[in-house]
Amino acid sequence: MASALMRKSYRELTRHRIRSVLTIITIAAAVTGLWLFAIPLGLDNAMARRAAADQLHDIRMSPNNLLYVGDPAERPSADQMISAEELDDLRALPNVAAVEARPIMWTQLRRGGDVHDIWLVGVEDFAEQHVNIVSVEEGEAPTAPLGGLEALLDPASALTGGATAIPGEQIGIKAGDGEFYPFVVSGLGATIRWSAVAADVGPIVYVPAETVRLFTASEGFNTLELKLVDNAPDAAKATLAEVRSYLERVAPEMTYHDVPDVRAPGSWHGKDQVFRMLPLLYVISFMAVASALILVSTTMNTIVSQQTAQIGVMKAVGGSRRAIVACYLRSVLLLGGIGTVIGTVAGVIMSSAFGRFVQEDLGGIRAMWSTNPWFVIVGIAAGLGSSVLASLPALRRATRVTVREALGSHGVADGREAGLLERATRRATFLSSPTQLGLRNTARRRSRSLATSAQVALGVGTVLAFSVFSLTALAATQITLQNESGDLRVYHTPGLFDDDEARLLASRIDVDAVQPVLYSKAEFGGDERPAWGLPADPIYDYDLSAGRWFTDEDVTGVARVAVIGRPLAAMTHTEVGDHIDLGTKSGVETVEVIGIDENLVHDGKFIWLPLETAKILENQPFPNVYWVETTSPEPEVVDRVAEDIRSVFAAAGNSVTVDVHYRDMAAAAAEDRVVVGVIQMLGLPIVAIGMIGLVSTMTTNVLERTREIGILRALGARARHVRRAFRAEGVALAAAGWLIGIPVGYVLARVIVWFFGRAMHTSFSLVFPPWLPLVALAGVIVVARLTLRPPLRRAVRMRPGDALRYE
Amino acid sequence: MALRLMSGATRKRTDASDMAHSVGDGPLVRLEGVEKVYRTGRLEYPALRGIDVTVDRGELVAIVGPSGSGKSTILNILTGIDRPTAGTVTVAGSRLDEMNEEELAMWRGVNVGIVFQFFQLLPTLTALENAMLPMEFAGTGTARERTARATTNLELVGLGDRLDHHPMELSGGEQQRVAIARALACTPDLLVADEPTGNLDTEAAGHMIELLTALNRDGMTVVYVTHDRSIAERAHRVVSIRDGLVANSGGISWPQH
Repeated sequence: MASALMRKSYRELTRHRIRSVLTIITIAAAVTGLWLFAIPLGLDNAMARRAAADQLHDIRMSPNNLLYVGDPAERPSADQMISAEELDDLRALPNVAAVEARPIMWTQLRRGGDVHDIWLVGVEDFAEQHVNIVSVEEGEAPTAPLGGLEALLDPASALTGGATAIPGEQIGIKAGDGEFYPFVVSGLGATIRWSAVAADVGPIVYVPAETVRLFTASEGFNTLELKLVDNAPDAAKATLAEVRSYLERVAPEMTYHDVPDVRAPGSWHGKDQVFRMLPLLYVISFMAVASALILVSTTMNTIVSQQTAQIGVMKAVGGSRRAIVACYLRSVLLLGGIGTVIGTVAGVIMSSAFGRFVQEDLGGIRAMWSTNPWFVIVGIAAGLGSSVLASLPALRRATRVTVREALGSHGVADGREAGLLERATRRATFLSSPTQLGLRNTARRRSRSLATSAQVALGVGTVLAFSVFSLTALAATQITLQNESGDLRVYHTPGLFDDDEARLLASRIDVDAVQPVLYSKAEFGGDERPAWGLPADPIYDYDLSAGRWFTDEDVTGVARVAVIGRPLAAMTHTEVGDHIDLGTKSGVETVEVIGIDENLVHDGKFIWLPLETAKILENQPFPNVYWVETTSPEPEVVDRVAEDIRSVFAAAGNSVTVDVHYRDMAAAAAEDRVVVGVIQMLGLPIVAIGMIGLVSTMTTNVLERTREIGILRALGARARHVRRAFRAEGVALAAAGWLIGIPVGYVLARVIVWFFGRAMHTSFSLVFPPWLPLVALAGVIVVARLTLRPPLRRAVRMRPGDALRYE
Repeated sequence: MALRLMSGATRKRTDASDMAHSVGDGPLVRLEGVEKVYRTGRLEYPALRGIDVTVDRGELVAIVGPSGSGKSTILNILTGIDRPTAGTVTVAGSRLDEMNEEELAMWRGVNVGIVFQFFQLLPTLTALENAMLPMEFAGTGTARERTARATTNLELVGLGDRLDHHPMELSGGEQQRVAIARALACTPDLLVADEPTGNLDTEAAGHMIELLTALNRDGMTVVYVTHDRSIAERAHRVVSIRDGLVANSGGISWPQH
């Protein structure tokens, strides 16, 4: 049988159910907020497990090793290729655990009336894979082409190309001869390496390697993926050098269509983006916990002050300080315990759902998410610990109440002195008495009002900070996109533009100017970077903070110079005048950095090279992209030119992809709006906690002042008078919270933007428009008035007789 | 003490004024077969078991009875603070048992002045603001008129020099006088007081009952609840309540405890 004190602890919570429920919700929200920390770590673990299961490559190379059997003139010599035996020798190299060689093809998929650009990935044997294992998630693995054409679709393809075919459906895939051949989708399959491409670049279709060879009328492979025994950066680099040296020995004239990719241990596609969001998650967690601490503290203080008389009685009948503390501590632990359990369950669900969403959206991967038991333990300890911590002032107060003081209060009498704020409201004689009543009560209960306003301020501050962060990021994105000039970007798919094609482009109606560009990549600073060959007078609006741009002499003279983005310069500690080593398709080349560009194209981690230099370094005699400026930026003109270019190249038997800049900008803006929406959503729980605090305080005020409501009603106050008094109180608290929230939001925004800039090795100009606090004020007033409805309804519905008898 | 509380007051016509000061030929208060049962969870407690009480205009009536007899319930019923479980309540020509809470609040603001045992002044308002409050609820007069009227009422109860004092800065007797000034705000037909001297010392209690009798002499109907025999003896008539029933209504017949 529970002791009387134990029963009292429990009944305190059931007696004021609404207040208890609100406190529990807040604690639960705070504990749930803590689980935001679990998202990046959980995601990292899940992706690591998936990477291990898929045998994600450590080194990927892109040799041009396909043997074109259809055209004897293009048949490579033995010096340009490696044989099956030589591939076996590669497997035997030290530190090489496994090698997978695959043919891949850039082509098109037709489903119904829709045509998508896709990568066709050839898998030698679906039953026996060693690196980047494609696992069948639904249906069957495709059979060899002789048994009919079958394909396995990567489900992440839906993210980029909208290719959402289901197993059993018939699709068409374009072969090297330009014809679409019918395929049956045998199933859905994925591997972490290619699903990332499917999620980011375009749809991926897996077929037997023989199918790719059949479609390209060739033999061999053009990707080489290696799994290492030791994938530490130094060991991986040494192994890459050894592999390169071996390949140079057995096939000295072999060329590459891409730079080698050495994957950093533990890295996965999208990891940077996820971890870049960490400051936001930290802010949310911190605000949720701070908000909950304030609310628990206020609630416990209220309980103690409401029960001053009861504490006096307990002391009068011999209750020791320890017994009284134990009584209230039990109430706290009950509230904290229930809130923590709910918060933990909600946190597990939220982090798991959010983590899955992120990994599927960013990485296109369904990884094996599991809950880390340490997080459960830490979450429970934090939930209970913070509840107890927050209630310490109230517990201390409870033990200090004297019997005489405790037993001496009744009625609506309030022994507190009028403070400065309260005296100030007296001068506002234009306000009605009910409004004055509300405002003076707010001013008189300073601690509670301050705590409630602080909670609202945290909510307002979070929303402001997230809005400022979003606006800052949007502004940076828009400036970046505007600098990427040219109304159209025309890509040869695959291949290069020769001079005739360049002339064809320039001759189209409404084309004002065309500019050749070579899109490529180079390894620098431990990772693969976009390395574009640009002319001396590019359409692109560079924004140099140091050094200079290329001269005509640099371009024509094939100068070994480069302009790099500031974030890349910052992270590699590179300055103008430094010489840097670039890993290119033709090997390591040293170039001098002559300029630092502030633009954030590719997050600022780019390398601009003089066009002719890039051609040499990339072994590409022609550009693979043309930037096109039309005679008018009007959408109809741009669209007409884009369509004209597509059709004229298609008629000539060449495939081009045309990106329309204004559409890209609109798409980026739409995408940004989604991201901003998600960011704002992340801030909503803090707003919710702030509003819970407001409701809790107002409910407590209504409860505490029940007798006062009875008096007012007895004196002839109508519902609107009672409503006005409490609404004035609630709106004043919300408005004070808004006022405090502005500097809080500003500081938070600065912190978030600073962290974000630091993660990107750059800095952003804070965008804090003056209208934002005004919008926040309107929002706060509206939300406050909505959240105040339940306590106001309670106040108004009270019968004066019941209110006067209320204890 | 000469009181001319109802002279010179300007009454602004409002929606509440429709309910104000109904004049009839019968008694000012008529309770017929009034029952009141309080329910707390599964428990039912009958406070009034079918009482009939009338109070004529200009009467000074004391309601007496032991604790829990139902005397405060009668006050609550005739002011519309509580609703009867059965029976009819007619005050100043209005059927209170047929009104909803909002109508009752409006009616009360204009027709009844209430003085509570523990004064029940609002701690955040000054004496003047407390005394103005019912006028504001009833929408009576302009702000200037309300201030003037509340000031007059406070001066008449002897608190002209305490206008800006908060309740906690006043003694018990002074607080009770503010409560009376507040009750007089809308020049009601009926003044009810629940144990008006219960929380005062003998001297303050004496002043209080003087004030009530003076108001009655000026024509106001006054009904009060008391435990104190000497206070009850000052009334024209004493209504004695026992176990929720009227034990005696007429001359002074002090109930046996």
